Amino acid sequence: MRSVFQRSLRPELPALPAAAAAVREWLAREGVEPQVIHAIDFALEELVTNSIRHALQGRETRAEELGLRVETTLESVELLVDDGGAAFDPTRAAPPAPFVDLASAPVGGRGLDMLRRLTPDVRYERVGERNVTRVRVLRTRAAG
Amino acid sequence: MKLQIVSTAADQQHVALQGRLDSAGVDAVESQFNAAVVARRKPVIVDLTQVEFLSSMGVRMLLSAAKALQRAGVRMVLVASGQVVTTALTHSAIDELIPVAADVDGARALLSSPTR
Repeated sequence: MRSVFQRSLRPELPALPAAAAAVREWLAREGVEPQVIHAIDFALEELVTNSIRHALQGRETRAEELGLRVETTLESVELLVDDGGAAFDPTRAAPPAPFVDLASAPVGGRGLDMLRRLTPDVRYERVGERNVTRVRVLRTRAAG
Repeated sequence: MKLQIVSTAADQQHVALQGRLDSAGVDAVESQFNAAVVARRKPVIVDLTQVEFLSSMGVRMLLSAAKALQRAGVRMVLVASGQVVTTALTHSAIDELIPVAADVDGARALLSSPTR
């Protein structure tokens, strides 16, 4: 059985908590396992934050410019985030250099690497003028 | 996101974060966290056991504080026990830079141990 949640999001960080909470609540109502909800929640936070801070930075944006779509099946949950920002493929972002010591460690730049470690199935395509990123997480029952 | 000052002594302090340490949580708590942890320049235990979610923005806040404290010659130790937070610490690799204990007693022991 297939269920779909869709929402548009203002491309502003203050809009993210309510959207993320709505996704978590919808997934819980759909009976999705807590660890899968967490993985989707993490992907949503990192992808939307990345879009707002980087892909959409300096661009004129419309209220509906960032789109969320979550689809559940018995086997998996897929999150799709699309934005109209500058082309950016998160799957091609270079992994951060290993830490050497605390003094020389850069404070940022680890979000996409953390995402790939938690949810390895990340796909990207440029569709017209939009970035479309999909993250697929296997349901615990299907995986186990 | 909330910050609780659990204890403040002359030689060390103990703070606890509660809630979601995501971009919104960092925006809500970072100034208070820096005032309580970085500005005091004391060895500090940061208890994350009541943190429900840790994103890269939360990692950035913790790492930035640890670096500032190191420049002042003092250490920060984290307490984390839940899978969500320990996984984020491992995936970000900051557990290689900031000592992590499973409980507060372990954190006190790490704070009093010789610097690595």
